[in-house]
Amino acid sequence: MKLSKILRTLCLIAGCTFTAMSMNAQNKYMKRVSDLPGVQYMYIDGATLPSGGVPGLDMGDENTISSVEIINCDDSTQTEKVLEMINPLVNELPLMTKAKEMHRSVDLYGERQNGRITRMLLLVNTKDNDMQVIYITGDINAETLKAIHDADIPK
Amino acid sequence: MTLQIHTVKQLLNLYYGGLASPDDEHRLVEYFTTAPDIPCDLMADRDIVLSLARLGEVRIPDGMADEISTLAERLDRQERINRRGHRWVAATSVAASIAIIVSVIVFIARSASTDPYEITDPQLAETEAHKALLLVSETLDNADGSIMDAGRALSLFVPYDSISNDTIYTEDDETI
Repeated sequence: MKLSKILRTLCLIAGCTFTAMSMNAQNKYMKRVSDLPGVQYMYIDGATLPSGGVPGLDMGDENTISSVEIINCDDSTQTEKVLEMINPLVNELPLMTKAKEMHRSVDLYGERQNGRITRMLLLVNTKDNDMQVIYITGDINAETLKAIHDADIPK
Repeated sequence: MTLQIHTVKQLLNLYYGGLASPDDEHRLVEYFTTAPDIPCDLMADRDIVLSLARLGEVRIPDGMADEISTLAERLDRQERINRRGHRWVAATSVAASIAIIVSVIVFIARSASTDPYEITDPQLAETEAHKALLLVSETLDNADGSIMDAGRALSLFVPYDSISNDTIYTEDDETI
């Protein structure tokens, strides 16, 4: 093998390794919020979830969850800051639905292609200024996702 | 004059090394043409020496020396460029190798340290993921319900058959 070929291969390996190392499963905007006081941040890797799926959502070739990130903020003074920090992520995703109920407002942002959702972000604000942010990545059938709620209602 | 075999071999060494004088060459030619019994191991040398002797004096063209020195200079310059290139390739290879080693070390260090925010208990992960999915599902389901309500409300004002589900869009323009 010529020396330049070895060099090219080495550079390629180095590039790939560096890219793989710098890639983080957690979303940087969501992760950053974890530093705020009064904010609870949770990260669930898709690999931690049972292989059969979660109740109401069979996982396999049809549906996959790569990660679930949850932010709970009970401190009303931090709500604005949380919103400001995740704003770049919110701007990346188109708004799917927006609902205002008696005690809370819910905004759902998501990436949807051919009836499948690959990324979604749920913003829940309560009247007491509590806030919950849920960010899910994966590949889930939108209809199956909707059916989780129906399956959970006791008949 | 008969040359000793030992002397012939010495002269041949000088001849092949390009160090033989015209006189030495003449002695060799004379030996190979007159000697009655040439040893077998010198037969090949005899053919070479006599063939070259038959060619006569080689005429070196004018300017040959200049051409040779120009060629030598060019080869030398080429060699220096190649050596510089090799040095660059070697340095880059070392840098790439270091980058790979550092990345692997960082990866191992990262894997060893657990993220305090990551839920590693599968049971808890399932519960939390289910809660999150349920909330998303409920939101999607409610949005669907609202759209259906809107459709029904609209049908009170416009003829029912002019409203089809195809005309109702969510904010991301996807047909429900």
